Amino acid sequence: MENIEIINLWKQYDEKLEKSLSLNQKIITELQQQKAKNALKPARNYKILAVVVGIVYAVVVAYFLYHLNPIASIFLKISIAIHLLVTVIAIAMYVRQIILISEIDNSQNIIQMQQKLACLRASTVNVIGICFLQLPIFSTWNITFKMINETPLNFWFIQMPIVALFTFAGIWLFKNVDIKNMDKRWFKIMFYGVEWSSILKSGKFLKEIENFEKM
Amino acid sequence: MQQAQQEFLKIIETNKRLIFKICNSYCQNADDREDLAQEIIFQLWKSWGNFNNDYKLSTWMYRIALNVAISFYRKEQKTTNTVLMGEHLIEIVDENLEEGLEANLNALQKFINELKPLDKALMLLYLEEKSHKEMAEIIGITSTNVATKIGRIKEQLKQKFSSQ
Repeated sequence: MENIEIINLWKQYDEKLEKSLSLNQKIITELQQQKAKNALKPARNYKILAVVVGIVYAVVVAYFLYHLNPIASIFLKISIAIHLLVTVIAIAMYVRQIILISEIDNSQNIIQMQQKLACLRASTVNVIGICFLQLPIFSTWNITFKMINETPLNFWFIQMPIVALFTFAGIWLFKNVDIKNMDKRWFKIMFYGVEWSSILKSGKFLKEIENFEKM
Repeated sequence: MQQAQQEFLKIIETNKRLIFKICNSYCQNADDREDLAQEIIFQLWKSWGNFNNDYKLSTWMYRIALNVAISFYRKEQKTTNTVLMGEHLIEIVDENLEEGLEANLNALQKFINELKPLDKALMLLYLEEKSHKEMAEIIGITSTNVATKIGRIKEQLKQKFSSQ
């Protein structure tokens, strides 16, 4: 069958539909009255809730840090300050995602629109990557000058290697927890489970879009 | 408002085949097809006020309908809020084509169904005989890229139908 015959076949199908297809006008009129339906609304509402909870949490941590100032060690204060900074960055990333959701426009070209949607879903992974930056604080919050002076061997040969390991792991995860690494084995182990499946599918679709754009 | 609604109804009536063909290509299941058709019409109506006359009406319609269809196709939970329970938006009277044509049409639809969502969009536009320029505007790739991809689709189609 030649291509021209295939086009003609499609035209015949179109003619058949012209005769046999009708749309229920009552339902269309009903659809015109609907206002609140939006497929991205649940995702947006979830992110708004996360931002509100995040802000309340950040305020509590900031309050705690402020009142801890005269009594706590410098190491504990720096650890909490890093935790607070990472929390604020994560909140800002969620705010950015909410803005992106509000900018979604179905009348954009397909590549632009689908890329935006897939990036939006996949960006949850980036928030997790940022959160890994606070990994070192779990090994620094309990350090005191007393510990350094009284048990220097323990500090330099046990505590410090742990701090170095956590710092290295935190920076490595921050750099590598990215949807681009979704095919790597460690990534698959880390993001295994149904709750990650839609994010991983978005990552695959982003690759599909990238390949499609190539000649 | 009333005038806009009427105008929109007319446009949907004129383009009902376009909507149906897209729904049929992205959904195998009749209930999903019904939901997708409702979603497409709803999104078209939502964007109707912002329709930009710089674009052709068909470009605007294809962009929205295909974007909604691709997003719907990729969604895990497909159910949407169907309006007027018990009634159907799509009503179709079975009108058979000649036996040979019906078989070829089924083979063509099977071929379309097996394509990836973006290739499917391109294939539909090719069958609707859209110009390379319009396809490029709808999809968001260059006209040269459209031409290359259409060439490949033609080749695939030829192989598919020569093996029949």
